[in-house]
Amino acid sequence: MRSTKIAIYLLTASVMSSSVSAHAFWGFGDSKQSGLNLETGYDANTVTTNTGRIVSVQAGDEHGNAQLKMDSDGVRVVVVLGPQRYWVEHGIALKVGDSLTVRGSKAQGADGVIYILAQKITDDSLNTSVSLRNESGCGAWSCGGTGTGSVRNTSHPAHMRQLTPGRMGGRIGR
Amino acid sequence: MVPVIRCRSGVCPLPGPHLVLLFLEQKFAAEEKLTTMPRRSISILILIAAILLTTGLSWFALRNYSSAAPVAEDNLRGMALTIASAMEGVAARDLSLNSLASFQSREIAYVMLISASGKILFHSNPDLTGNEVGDNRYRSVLTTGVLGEERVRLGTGEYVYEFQTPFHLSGKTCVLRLALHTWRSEAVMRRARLGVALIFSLLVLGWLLGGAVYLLLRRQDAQEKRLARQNELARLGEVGAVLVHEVRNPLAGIKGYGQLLEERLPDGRDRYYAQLIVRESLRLEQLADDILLFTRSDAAVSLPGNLSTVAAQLTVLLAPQLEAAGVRMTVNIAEQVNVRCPEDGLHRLLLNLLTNAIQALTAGGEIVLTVQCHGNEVEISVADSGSGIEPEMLSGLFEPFRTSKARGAGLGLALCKKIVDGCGGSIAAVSAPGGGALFVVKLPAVLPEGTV
Repeated sequence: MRSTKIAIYLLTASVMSSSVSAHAFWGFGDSKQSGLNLETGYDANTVTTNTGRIVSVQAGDEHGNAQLKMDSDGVRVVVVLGPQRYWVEHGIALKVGDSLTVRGSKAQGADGVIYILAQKITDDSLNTSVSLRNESGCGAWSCGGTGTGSVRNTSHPAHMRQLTPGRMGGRIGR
Repeated sequence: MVPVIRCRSGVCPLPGPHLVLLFLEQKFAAEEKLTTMPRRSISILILIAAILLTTGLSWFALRNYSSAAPVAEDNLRGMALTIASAMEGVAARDLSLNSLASFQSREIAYVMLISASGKILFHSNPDLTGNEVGDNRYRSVLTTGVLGEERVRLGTGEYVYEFQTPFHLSGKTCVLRLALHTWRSEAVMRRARLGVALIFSLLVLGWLLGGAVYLLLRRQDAQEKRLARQNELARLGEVGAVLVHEVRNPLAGIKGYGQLLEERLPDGRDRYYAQLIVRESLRLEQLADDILLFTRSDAAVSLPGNLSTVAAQLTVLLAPQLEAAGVRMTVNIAEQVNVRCPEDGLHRLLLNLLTNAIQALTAGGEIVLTVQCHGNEVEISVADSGSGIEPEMLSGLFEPFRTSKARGAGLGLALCKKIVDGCGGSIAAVSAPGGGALFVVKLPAVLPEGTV
């Protein structure tokens, strides 16, 4: 009787695992992933300018990219800000509730989310802007930059605070 | 119902154990046949229904999935044509194309209007308006006038549906290149994929659960049959015990008078008859003892028994039989091997196994009795060099009243199993590798004090 129970447990486990593997096989397993190249991806054709209010700030995703979520005309978009380390070294104040104007390459991920690979961010509240990429999409962290400020990620993960005013890529202004 | 045996002199009132067993087997077989036939037919019908259901659902799921991709393509094409038509209308009213900038749709990844010379007349990214287009893919649309559509990967890593169509602008033909996000239009494909995955997962689950239920039912069925057989045998045992009790007293008288006659009669035919009476009386007495022992329900015992002592006693006891049968017996046993089984049980167990082996060696041969300790278990093996056990006998070898001997009652090995089971051990029989039979008994060992 015990062997029968074990057999049933094994069968159930195999069914569950086969179901999960089938799920992954048919393309649902990666529904949490965008399928986009968020590190170096950029396309000038899809560059748009969006305005909205910050809903949340994420210091770093699984690839180490800083991101923020923004409501733009009722649509939730994810703004990809670049490597977290870059934001640790340089600074701009971004906090939940700020109004932003984001210019960047827009893409829709396989998860259905709209991503903007930010090229330039303007904090409308503070009238501060920072260029993160050049016109061809090359990031200031990889193509070099002249930014000087500093950014510290405070203990609150949803709040990146500027410690000292600075410039990034020479395109910051107040 | 008791089977009736026809004898030469009329009707024999008492059935032999073989005939009772035969009767029971026939009864079981008839009942099994009656219950198995409709069940088997129902099982086949259920299996056919399950196969048909699986085939039907698989066909439905795959058909649904295969038709989803064209539907998604049609959705995208329809959307692209609608947008292109709307933009053509807007452009016709505003030749400066400034109005196109206000044309917004969530599904548009980007849009550009390309002149015949390759100049971008309008782009959703205003910075690119006025630039030269970086490829020649638009030319085929201009030359053939046929719509172009393909999947392209953008620099962001996103796959978009790119649609190119001739665009008439103030008497000139341009090309409208429209890239659309595919996520929303492909919802139908995602749903189809989900449906296929769910259906196949459920089918696999259904088959596996069905298999598990089938195994459980089969197991339950076998247990019920075994229980029914045990009940019948127990009933037979009760009847046998009563009969044996009634037979033993008159049998003692017959044997006693037979022995008296054997002693007093002179050598000759009459004395031979008296010897026959004594011999058959002894055989019947042995059978009665076996039946009583088999039907007796012993309480669990855990008295230790010394195998060396029992083996030594049996060597002496069986010496005349071994000599008469021309059989050589070898005993390989370590001294002071104690098992958790009483000595009278051990004596009976080994006596039956060794007697069985001697009877199997009709033309002489060899018997090897080996006792080995394996941790907290003792293994006793009795091997003979006879003709071995017939394969068809192996399955019911330890069941009562099963024997291949003309004069045996078929209780010897059944008693062995009862003794071994009562001591918490196991017994098995195999055909030995070099021919002959090999009986292996495993009993719990009594470990010396201080041993863990």
